[in-house]
Amino acid sequence: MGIIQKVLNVDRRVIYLIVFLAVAIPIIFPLNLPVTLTEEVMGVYNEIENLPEGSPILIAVDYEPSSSPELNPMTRAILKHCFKKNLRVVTTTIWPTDGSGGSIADKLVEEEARIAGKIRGKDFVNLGFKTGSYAVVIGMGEDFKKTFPKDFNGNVLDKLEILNGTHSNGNSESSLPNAAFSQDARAKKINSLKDFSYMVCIHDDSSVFTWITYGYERYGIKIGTGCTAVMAPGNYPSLQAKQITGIIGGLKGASEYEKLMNYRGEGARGMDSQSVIHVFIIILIFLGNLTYFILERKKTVRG
Amino acid sequence: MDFFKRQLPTLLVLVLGLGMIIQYYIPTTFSQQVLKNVNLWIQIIAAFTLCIGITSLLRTHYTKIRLQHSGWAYSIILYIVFIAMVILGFYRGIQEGTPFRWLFDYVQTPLSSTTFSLTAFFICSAAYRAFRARTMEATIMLIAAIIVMIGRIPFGDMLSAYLPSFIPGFNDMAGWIFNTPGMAARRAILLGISLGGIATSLRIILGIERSYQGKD
Repeated sequence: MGIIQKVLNVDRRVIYLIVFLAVAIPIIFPLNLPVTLTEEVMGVYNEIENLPEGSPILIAVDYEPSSSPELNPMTRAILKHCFKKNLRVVTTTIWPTDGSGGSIADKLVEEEARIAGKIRGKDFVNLGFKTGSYAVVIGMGEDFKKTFPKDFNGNVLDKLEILNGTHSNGNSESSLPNAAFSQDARAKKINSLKDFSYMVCIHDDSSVFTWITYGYERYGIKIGTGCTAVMAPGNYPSLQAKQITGIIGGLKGASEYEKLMNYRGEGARGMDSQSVIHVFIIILIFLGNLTYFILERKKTVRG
Repeated sequence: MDFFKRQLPTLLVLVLGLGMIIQYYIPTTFSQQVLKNVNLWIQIIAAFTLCIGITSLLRTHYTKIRLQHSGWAYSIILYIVFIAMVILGFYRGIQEGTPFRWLFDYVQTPLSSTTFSLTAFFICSAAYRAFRARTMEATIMLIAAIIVMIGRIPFGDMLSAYLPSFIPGFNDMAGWIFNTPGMAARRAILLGISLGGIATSLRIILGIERSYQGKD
């Protein structure tokens, strides 16, 4: 067996070992690769940034635990942004596999709220999961509190301050420049999807199309999306049609959002590993094709 | 019996299907109220479909255990875990600090993530062994894949700095692939799915397509 044949038939465990090292080493020793911003991510960031303080924002955490390493970083970055802006954050999921009724959303929003010093029921609420997919979205559009009478923890939604428009950031003077314009936003009651100033759907499947079809088209809620890298191309037609304002795609998108929020989190760290793996795959494709064509040529020459 | 199995479901689908189409185009107070009520029914029915899904899952695995098909031991594990999670969920709830949540956070999430992460190993191995420029189509796909892979990582920007000014950067090229040929293909698929969906819906509403009623 010639060297070319040997290279072509390399034991797959060797490849697995290199993949493992290529992922592990950049996590242990970060490369701190530069992150460049894209219009797609800015489309989501700018919408949130321009919301007046106290505006209600809906975040749909429509993904399952298997996608959490890729999607949690962007969810965290968005939550940080919302809390920094003193927005009223409402999380939910219409995706049944979001760990038993909204546990992913609950864990993330609770952790980020603790860091930001926000109070459950006043500054944020997790509605949890309700089965019915598009019927839930229509229900939220028609009568929000009837569709979700209680939150994830069993609190009656009608009694929560966050939905009744009496939210306050705890300070008499706001530090935010647009605070002067935020009294209306703070006083806004949430009775329908229409009352949300913006929503972000973070998904690893097709739930965003349910939100677009019924949430945006029927009730006019502005939507931004965050999704796994493989799902991102599927969202571009909606972006071009202006049905969504932006896309945060995979770890790349998450790392961009983290940069906008001035910190290097799991997204940027994961991007280091992903960059090395991409280069490794390209090298493998190149090597595989090179050896293949050399062998093919040899066969042709031999006749 | 044929009336309850065939004619009544067909009639219900016809009336509700046409009714909801009419409702959409005539948004009066009455039709909005109809939408609210129907929507509530859908949510209740959807909850029952979850029960059907669970029953079907348990039946499939029960058969597997009874007939001792290959991997039947995993079906026993499924039963144990399923029963444990249901009991824990009902007994203590699913909020933070409960055993259910602990199992979700420290067992299900890491296991699911790990299983999904294994695809990275297979993708690399498959890229090496199977991604060949054998035909023109395969070559185009391969070049597009490489451009997107480089364009979506910081190395792409670094490499782009060395390209002559008349050649767009890898990030721009990847963006063009997403925004032009990729989106055209995606839009064509979406239109196809939508038209197919409309045609199938009409067939169901008009009683031409009755496969949802079962065989007997």
